[in-house]
Amino acid sequence: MKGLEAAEWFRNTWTSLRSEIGKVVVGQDDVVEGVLVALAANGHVLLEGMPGLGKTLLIRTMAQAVDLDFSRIQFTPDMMPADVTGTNVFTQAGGFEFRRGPVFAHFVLADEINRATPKTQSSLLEAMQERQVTVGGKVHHLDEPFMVMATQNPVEQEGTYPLPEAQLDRFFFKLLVPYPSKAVLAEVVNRTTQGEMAQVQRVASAEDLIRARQITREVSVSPEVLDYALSIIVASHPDSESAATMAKKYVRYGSSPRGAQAIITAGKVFAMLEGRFNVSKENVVKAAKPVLRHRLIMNYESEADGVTADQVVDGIVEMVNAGDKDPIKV
Amino acid sequence: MKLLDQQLKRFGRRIRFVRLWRGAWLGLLAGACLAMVGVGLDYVLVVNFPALWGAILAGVGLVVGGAIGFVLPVSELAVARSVDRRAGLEDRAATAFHKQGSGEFFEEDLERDAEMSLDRVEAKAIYPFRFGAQQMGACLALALLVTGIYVAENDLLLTDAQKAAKGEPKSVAAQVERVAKNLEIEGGAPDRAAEKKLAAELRKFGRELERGKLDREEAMQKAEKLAQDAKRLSEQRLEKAGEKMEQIQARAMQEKFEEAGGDLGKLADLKLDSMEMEMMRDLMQQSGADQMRGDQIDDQMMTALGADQTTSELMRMSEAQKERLAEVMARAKQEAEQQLSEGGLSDSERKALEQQMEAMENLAQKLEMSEDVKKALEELQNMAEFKEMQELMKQMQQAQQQMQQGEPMTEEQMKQMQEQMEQLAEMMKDPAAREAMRQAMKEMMEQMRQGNMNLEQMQQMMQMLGMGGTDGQGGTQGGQYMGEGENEKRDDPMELEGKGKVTAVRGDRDEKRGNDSFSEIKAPTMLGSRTSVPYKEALPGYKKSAESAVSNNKVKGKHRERVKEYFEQLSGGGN
Repeated sequence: MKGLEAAEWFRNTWTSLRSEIGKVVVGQDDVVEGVLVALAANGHVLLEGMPGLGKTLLIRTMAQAVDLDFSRIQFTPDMMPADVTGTNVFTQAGGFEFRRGPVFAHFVLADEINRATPKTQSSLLEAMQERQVTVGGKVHHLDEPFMVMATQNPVEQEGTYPLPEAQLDRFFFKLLVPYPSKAVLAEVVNRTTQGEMAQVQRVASAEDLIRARQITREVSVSPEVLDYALSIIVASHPDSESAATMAKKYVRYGSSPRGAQAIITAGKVFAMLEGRFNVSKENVVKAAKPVLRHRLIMNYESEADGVTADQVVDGIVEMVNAGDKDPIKV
Repeated sequence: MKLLDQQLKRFGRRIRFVRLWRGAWLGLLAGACLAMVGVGLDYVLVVNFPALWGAILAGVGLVVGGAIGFVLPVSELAVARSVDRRAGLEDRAATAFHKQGSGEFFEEDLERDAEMSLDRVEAKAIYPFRFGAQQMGACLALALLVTGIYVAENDLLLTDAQKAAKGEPKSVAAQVERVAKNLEIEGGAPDRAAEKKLAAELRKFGRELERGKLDREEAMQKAEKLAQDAKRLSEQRLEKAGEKMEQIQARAMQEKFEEAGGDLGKLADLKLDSMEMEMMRDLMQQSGADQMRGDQIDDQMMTALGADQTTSELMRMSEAQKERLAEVMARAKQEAEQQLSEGGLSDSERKALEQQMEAMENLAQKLEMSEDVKKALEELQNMAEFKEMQELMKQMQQAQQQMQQGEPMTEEQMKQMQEQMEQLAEMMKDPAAREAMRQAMKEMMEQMRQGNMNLEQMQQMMQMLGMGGTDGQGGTQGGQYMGEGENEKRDDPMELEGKGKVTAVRGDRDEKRGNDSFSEIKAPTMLGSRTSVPYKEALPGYKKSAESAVSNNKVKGKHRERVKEYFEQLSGGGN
């Protein structure tokens, strides 16, 4: 397949996927797009929003559209790692048999992940990064494609366990699920209270997803764009010489190298979706917030001032843009 | 060349022209600002900055700025990045430029996409010729400059009194300008750099005066300072000029000598004034140790020895001068021979050339002869008989004094004197000199016998014979007759032969009262001869010549005062 054809196929596939999801999920366009981008980028997504905003519906619908396995894990404080990964069970036949946990699915919804203990939360680490689970000394590989979508409630903090930085860094995107507008809400109400629910058609396969991920990796990145992305990452570090003012003031730790990888990969997907064969700076900027907002470890001052990670990212981008001049002055 | 590169070059060309436009305005802005600074400094008299310079500076800024803008390098990558930004191509062009030949999966598609995107972009749309802040700034600066110049030139901010005060020195400006111009043009000064600097300062001063930039007091102070500088340089210049004048004069004498066709005998015909003659003599006397003293060689004596005027002059020349003369003659002779051998000359030209060669031959012979005569003179002066002749001259002086007192010489005394002189002449080895001497002595004796010679004439004759004598102080004072009363002319004027202009010389009366008598001798003035012209008559001419020489820097600076004092004393003595 030639490049142009591959790009066309990618765009058509994703457009179809987007359309199928849109049949069920009303509004939340950015969230849907973000999830699909993460899917193409082989990443995991952390969704943060109030309950009842359609997070579970989104991931279930997506699984239906690609006809892949879907599992949902409701994290609670008493949940154990084995409840996620699976465990060896003594069988009547007289031996131990590994019984797969809910992580063994193509799409895993880790609902209210911050309610589980860090120990249980960490049980997902290996699965998310290595795409494998080790139980009883035995490694169990997960099927591709594999994607974890975790949710957390930003308001009910009592009895929760904030995700450790290492865990957060494994998430490709952190998407904020906003409260829908009145119009969107009306549509949601109408769709869910009238007639039958729309049926989602399968528009892609696991192989299509894998192929889409391969195509995405072929998108070109110019040195200037790469430098631009790296400048943003470096500027997020408060101790860096080129740190942004906002980062110096409100950030305790900046983005990890995974942040740089994620921002370029996301940029590639955005470029493909926009019909280009190269990553633009605009793509980088677009990817910056979902990539960085959970990777910036904010300090107490940010909490005191009510400054969010997104605001810091805006400050960083603004600073980097200011240094990115037109090379031809006329 | 790929389409992408062509398109990038298209934008590159546009960028160059836009840079030219921008650079020209920026240059104009910079030039105008600098010019404004210059005008401001000129107004406060820190520097001299004419209005024209302001216009030139602004124009140069415009041209240079435009040129720099046009020739500044424009890389294709920079163009691609710039076009991406300006046309909103989302890094298509820059990425495609980078990925050319990379072999990546989307390389061709990326390039095609970039080309299509660039094709839709018009260069003039993203690189327009703007008239923005820079252009406005340049126009503003230009307007301010023009205003500043106008205000400064027309003294708009000054009161009438201030204008009047500034206008007064303007009248002096033209004079100062003339002086500065002359100072710049004149060359050969010992300290040319200092003179140029002074000229520049004078020009500046003149311009300031002309433009009314100085008040009277300030102008006076500055003028005083410049005058001091000028005086110092002038003194240096005069001194140097005096030294050089000698060299120039020497060269001029040489040229005149050559003009005379190599015949020194014609020098008298060159109409040299007395000062030039004196200088020529000085130059000759300065020429070396081998040269004989002027008082030892006298024209008349050499004439008596058979040496003509040319030979006399040659003898006065130093060895170096003689060598130079010999070289000149040899060269001239060679050229003349060459011209004759080559032919192609008319009869008149050939004749003239042959005459010239003949003259040179003659001169060469005289040059050799001058050596012989010089030796003969030396021998003569060392001879015992010469001393006897000196003794004889004393007797002749006594006789002349007796004649003056009304006691003529006896026949016996005259005979004895004649015999001694003939004896002396016989002893001289050079037949020509001997004959000349004899002839001269005979003539003198004859005159004495006839009672036609007074002391003055006798002294002249003795001088002609090179025998020294009474140096003109005998019975007169400075060769003048003294006293008051009637003057009786004894006989007709005696005319002596020789070259030059014949002049009649008369003596003045003695201060003593009573009758007196005088004789008149008409003779040409000769080079080196003494004169009985009363100094009161000659003084004005000499003084005029001296003043002319002093004013024309012919006299050395260190001698100039002396010359002035000398003539002043003479004038004072006459009064």
